[in-house]
Amino acid sequence: MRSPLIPIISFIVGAIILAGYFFPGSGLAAIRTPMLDWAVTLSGVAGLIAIINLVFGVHWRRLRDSSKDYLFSGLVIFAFLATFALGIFLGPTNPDYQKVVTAIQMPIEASLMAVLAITLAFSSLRLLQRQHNWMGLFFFISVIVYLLLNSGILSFMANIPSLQEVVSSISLVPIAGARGILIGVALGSLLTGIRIWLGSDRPYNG
Amino acid sequence: MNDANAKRCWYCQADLTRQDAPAENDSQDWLNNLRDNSPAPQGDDQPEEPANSSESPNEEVPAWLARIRTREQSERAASEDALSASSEELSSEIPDWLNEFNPDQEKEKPDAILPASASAQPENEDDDWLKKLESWQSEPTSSPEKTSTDVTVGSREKPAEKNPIEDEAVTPPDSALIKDSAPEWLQAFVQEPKSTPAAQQGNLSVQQPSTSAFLPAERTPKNEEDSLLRDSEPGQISPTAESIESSELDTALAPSQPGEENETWLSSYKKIHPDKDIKEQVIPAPVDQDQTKAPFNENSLMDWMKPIDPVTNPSQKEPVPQLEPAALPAWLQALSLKHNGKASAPSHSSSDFSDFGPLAGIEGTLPGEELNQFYKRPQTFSGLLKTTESQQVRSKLLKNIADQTHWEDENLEEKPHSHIWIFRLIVTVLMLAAVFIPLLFTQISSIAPSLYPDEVVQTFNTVNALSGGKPVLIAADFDGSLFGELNWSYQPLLAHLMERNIPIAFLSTNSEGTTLLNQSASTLIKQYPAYASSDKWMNLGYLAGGSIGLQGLAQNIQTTMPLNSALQSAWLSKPFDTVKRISDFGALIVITENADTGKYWIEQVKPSLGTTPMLVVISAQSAPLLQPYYASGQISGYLSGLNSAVAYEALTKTPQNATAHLSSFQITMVLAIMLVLIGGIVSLIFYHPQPGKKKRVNS
Amino acid sequence: MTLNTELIWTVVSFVLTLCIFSYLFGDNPLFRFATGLLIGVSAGYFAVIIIYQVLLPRLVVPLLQGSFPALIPLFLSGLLLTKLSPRLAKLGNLPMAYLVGVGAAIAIGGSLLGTLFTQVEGAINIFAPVASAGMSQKWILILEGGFLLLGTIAALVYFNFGGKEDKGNSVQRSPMVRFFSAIGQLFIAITLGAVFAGVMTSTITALIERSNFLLIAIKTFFGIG
Repeated sequence: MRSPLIPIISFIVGAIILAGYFFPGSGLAAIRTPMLDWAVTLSGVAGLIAIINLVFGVHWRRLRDSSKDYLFSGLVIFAFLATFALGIFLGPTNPDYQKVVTAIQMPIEASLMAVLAITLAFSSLRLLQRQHNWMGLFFFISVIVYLLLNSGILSFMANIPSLQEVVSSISLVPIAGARGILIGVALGSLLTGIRIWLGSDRPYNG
Repeated sequence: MNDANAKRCWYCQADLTRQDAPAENDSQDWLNNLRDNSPAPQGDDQPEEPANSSESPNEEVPAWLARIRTREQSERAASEDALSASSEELSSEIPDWLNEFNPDQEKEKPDAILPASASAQPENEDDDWLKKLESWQSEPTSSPEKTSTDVTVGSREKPAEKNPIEDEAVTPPDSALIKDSAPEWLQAFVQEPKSTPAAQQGNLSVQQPSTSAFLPAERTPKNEEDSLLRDSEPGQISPTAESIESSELDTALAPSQPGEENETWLSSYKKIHPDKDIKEQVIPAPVDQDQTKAPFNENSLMDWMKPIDPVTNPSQKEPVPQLEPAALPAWLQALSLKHNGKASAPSHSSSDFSDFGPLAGIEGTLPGEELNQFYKRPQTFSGLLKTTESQQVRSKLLKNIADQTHWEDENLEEKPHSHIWIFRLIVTVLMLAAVFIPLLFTQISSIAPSLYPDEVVQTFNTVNALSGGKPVLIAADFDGSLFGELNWSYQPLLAHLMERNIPIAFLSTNSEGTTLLNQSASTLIKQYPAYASSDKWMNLGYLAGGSIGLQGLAQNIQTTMPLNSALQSAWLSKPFDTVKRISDFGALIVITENADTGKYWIEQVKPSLGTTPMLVVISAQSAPLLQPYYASGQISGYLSGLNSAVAYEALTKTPQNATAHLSSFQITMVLAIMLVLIGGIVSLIFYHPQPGKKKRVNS
Repeated sequence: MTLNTELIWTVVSFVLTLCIFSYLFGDNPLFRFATGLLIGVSAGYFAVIIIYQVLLPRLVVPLLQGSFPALIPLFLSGLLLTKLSPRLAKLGNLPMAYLVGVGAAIAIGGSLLGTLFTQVEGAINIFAPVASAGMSQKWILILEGGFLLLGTIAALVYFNFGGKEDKGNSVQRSPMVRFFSAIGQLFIAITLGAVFAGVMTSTITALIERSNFLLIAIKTFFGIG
């Protein structure tokens, strides 16, 4: 049998934080602020644990076992150790060290998105091939219309009367669906949060 | 009748050789098991009350018993060989009333005396004795002895710690008392108890066979239990045959060899009144099984002794013969002295052995059941997902909806990959050409923005309305993936702020965000020397915790971000010393490529901002999901993508990177639109629905 | 010297960009090298950031300043570190429960006050401008507001997975729900289409930015312009 202490702690902490939303002017802030601060610190430690697990739990094991991608794992570990050692030595605010981000990370990540552009363009060729229904058709038309709006090329028709109003109205249409999606997501988050807060779901047990 | 020297019964092939002591010991093993369930002794100084002490017969010797005596006298002269005569022959001489105990003996006498494990026994032999065990359950009595016995039987106190022999030690009944209460004809049977040598060595007080065992006793539950338990006492099988008169009844029930008999099991016999219907006396009244109390606590019984559920055992449903319950159980007969000889001489017949169980290999014992079936496996849990009915209904509904929405045509899967590779190459070349050509040939003009989205105009107006003294907080919540788009998008905004000499503090919930913003700002600051000379640009660094950190920021920014990235106090020096809470900023500008990140800022921080405006620079991919927040007034304005940036640059009249790359952007966008349009039209033209080949995706 | 450093970093960026672009011709070792490097560098940089900008200012500095309450996050952090050991991982449940409790409350409060109430209010207030609008605009605003309200409600109905099981063991929604969910489906299709167009726009911008970088780098290498 698992100890009920852990869910009780989770509940009490959640209750204090939640109460702060509804009674912002009360004295709850005195206890709420340090609690949030501790949670921020713990989040950082959790991130550190995740990194250690990734590097030494996953890639180190692959390297040690000489599994299929052991060279790849070796590269990951080497890159990690080099970056970490350099960062500890120079500090993250050092302009030279920041090149790690601006000259290595950012170019790779941005290039991945650039490659995605071509992949999406190719995929859009078959946009209607998969879905021959009303939803597919509306999706198809919507993509074309909003690509046109995003490109800004409709500006050459700016002298057409009421074009501004039409464009504004068209750009408002996604609000309806997006609002429905947002409300649905908020309802889901609310229910999930309540379940976790009340202990019905306990993701911290492990 | 078998020959006196015969070693095997002529009728039943039972072994007639004498029982040796080792055989007794062998049988004690499993009897010890029974003893474990026996009631704990109430104390050595508390003698076991004779089963029939309150039922001593006082009536005169009946005629039938006199006849037995007469006959006994006539046969006393017979040699001792007669004692070793076969039991079936003896049983044939048992009077009719005694035969009532076992009606089967009248039908199949040889079988009746076979041990329980003999092959001649019915297949459902264990059912039989269980039935008999149940039939022995008598009506509950309110006597204190019974109550105490029941309680004792039910509770097995420290069975492993006690010496089973010591636990079972009982004091023999007071024979003098029995003598006094016994009728005259029985006085001769009563003798002083003698301790057997074995019992003396073991310092045991062993109950000796006495006349009390032969006295007809009222069959109370306690008596039954006691008799059953005594039957299982190894110490009670001590030889005391000298004290037994050789009557016809005794002969039938007496041990075939002196020194080996044990008559205590006979104490379970009822007191018989000859003047009454013998069947009524012998056969216990049918008792409703539900109302009976089990002689043993079921929890303390071994599994094989527990009553068999009649539902699960069809044989129990069969009507039980009227006389069946009164018959001696076969396994009890196997314990009787007339079978001792057989038990002592293993016949090595497989049918006499129990092949499995704790009694395996012991001849003449009850056939054990395979104990594996009683072993409980460790509790296992099903790996199947347990769902409620409503969840299943929803699942089916979701499947229906998915089926209506998604399907694939089988013929699409069969297209060769070579064509795909060619198409892919063509698209790649076209796209790269659309991008590079305007970059290489800068004279290609683009369409200047003339339609200004409302959100861009509102952003511009908000920044224009900012007070010069109040710093602005910028959240650089983005990574390198869409840095190019965001950099071009926020550059005009940043330039606008710098132009207005507004101090900027920036932080990020992404580890790369502040570094990337710092890099692009450092290039931009060079364009505004006045701004670069002052400390109006502060890097607060990384804010951990995601939405938790944002709530902390909204609650108390000075506690949540006490130091800047250089680990110096962030809020002591000008111009940021005026900031006590987040609403003290002139505006909050969130730069992100992720709709969720923007949502978190709006949800957690916006309520604490009060009247402070909140602006968002967001990637075009997330703009549709941010629009509702703008429509509801939670954010004052936003820039999304290159087109908005170009519009903002047009509003500020400071063309920068967005405007410089507009032609490339517009051409590539037109190409993308054409690809989508052509692909869709081709799909519609060449699509031939084939109902037979339509394949629904059921996942 | 500085120029040379800048040039080296430019070369690095250039090579890495080409490594990723090589994926257009299929998966290859260059692409895998770049992605492996990205993972390792990101992890290392993130670890340094956590140490310098989370643990130092929030844990170490307060402790050095003699702040007693800083012992609490220090203790919880120590317990959280036990998650690295399978044997001691259970000790980490306490700080995890703390984090989850705070996170759940943040999610509840944020969803409720930041999105649910405000968006419902926003859906209601669609008609607010009607009161101040002129007669000519009034009907347009009413139509526009009604259209958006219908879309919002219909999209919500689409996400309602309630139905009844019929004889054929098939679950169907009621006709009214089916009607509104069909409308909602169209609105969601339009919204997702706008999102897809936005994704294409963003990636195309990224492609232009990377292509522009490549051109600038080549010009730099060859001293052009």
